[in-house]
Amino acid sequence: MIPGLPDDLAVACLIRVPRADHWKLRLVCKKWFRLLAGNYFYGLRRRLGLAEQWLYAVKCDGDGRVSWDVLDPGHRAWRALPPVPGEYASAVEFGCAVLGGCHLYLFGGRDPRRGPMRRVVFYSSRSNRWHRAPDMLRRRHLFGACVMGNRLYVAGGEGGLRSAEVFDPAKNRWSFVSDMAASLMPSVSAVHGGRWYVKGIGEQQQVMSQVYSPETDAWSAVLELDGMVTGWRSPSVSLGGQLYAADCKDGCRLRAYDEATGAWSGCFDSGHHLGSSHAVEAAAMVALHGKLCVVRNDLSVSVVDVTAGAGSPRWETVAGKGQIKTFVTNLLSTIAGRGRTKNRVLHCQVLEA
Amino acid sequence: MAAGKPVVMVTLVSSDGQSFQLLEEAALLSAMVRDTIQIGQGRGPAGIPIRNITGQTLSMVVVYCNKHYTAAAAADGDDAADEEKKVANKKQLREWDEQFINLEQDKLYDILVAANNLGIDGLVDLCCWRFADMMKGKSASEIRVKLGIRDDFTSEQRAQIEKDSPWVWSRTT
Repeated sequence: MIPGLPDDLAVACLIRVPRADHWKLRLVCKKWFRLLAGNYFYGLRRRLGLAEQWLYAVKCDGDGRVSWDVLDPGHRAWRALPPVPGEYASAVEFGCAVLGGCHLYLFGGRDPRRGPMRRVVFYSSRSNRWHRAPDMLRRRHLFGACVMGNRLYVAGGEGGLRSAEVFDPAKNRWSFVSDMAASLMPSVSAVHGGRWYVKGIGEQQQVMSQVYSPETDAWSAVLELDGMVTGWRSPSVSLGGQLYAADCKDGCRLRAYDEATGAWSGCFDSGHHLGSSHAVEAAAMVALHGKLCVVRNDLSVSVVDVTAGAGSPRWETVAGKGQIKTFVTNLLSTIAGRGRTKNRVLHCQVLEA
Repeated sequence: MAAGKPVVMVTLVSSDGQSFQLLEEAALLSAMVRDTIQIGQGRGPAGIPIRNITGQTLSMVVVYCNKHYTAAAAADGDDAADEEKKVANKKQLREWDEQFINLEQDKLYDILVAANNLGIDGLVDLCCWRFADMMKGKSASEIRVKLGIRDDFTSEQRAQIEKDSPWVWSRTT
């Protein structure tokens, strides 16, 4: 593999090369190409704590085209990625989730011409390729999704859907789980304490919340007085057993749910506010290397170490705005038909390799 | 180093017959030396023969062991509460490591193989990091030249790989 070194030592050397250089290693020779295409290489990196987490943003451009970018936190600049599979190139209202730490799934959604889809595709950050996965059992768009125990759960959706399904990558199969207590078009969703909370619009256009427990395979309505659900805003993220949400539109102030008091309270304030325009609206929150990451529509990213304690958490701007020039200047008609509005980030996920 | 402890030395003998004396505790960084001493060998005047490792390489390994043993012993003696000093010492050792391993490829290979045979995990790790560092920012052809690897892709295969990941080609190599 490397002339002059036994193979096990050559591998020990190569797994320490930073992820940003991996695509060059693939081009050196066939042996290296095979090594980097296999799970062995990345499994070792993960086991030895060498895996690097990158941030992926799926976004919608001015003409409703779906594209995606990647941010290597070490290099602090977004890069465009190869096109998403054709069926998602102009899709709306689809789901996005990560399984196994390195597979990014796109599923369901609606094609503007062909209607709702059952389709499931995934991208592997190890192979740098897209693959097909089995279709969902139902066509769904505007539905809820989450990952628990490395299984992908989907539920509800527009059209009064009550059904819910789970995908187990180990079995490579979808199967139904219990129906929701009532049909729901989820708008906020989070996993907290091993249960899946969804909040959305019910059939009578009323706001309602339900919670799913994978252990008992049962849905139940969440009491209206439940402090967690009433104070819950999108986007939110669960980190270190704690649930965080944006406390203002640009996500420069965060609130956390306190189990003991059953209430949300403001916890972190960057002290530097960007305003409330669409461009700086916090579109997603994710956990990146144990830190909380706020991603805005203009692809600016703030990272805050929430474990540092409420005293002086450190805010850091990992990527500034204006990385993609056309981003602010373009307009797009939104999926919800609320008229024309600017570009936006649809999903944000973290993949390691 | 705590006073009053009996000082025990061991001798390592390289493949070309050079002898190196060092504190047994420093030599114990090597799993291979640890095993040898555990079965009751190696303490005699003949020392421990280290096959396949030349004196030139072994001398470097001995320097590494001495440095890391001294640093660990000093850290043990430190006031446990003095976090600042600990951090400073760690940083100092890291800088020493960097200086130490800043070697040409051939020597790096020799030390890596030696550290692996002797079972000195810290040194193996250090060598691998240094190697990875040498790869950083180099193009595939530069890596090939540096490591003496033959390009065995056909032009069709290369074209296929380039087609599979077109996004990487827009960047400078």
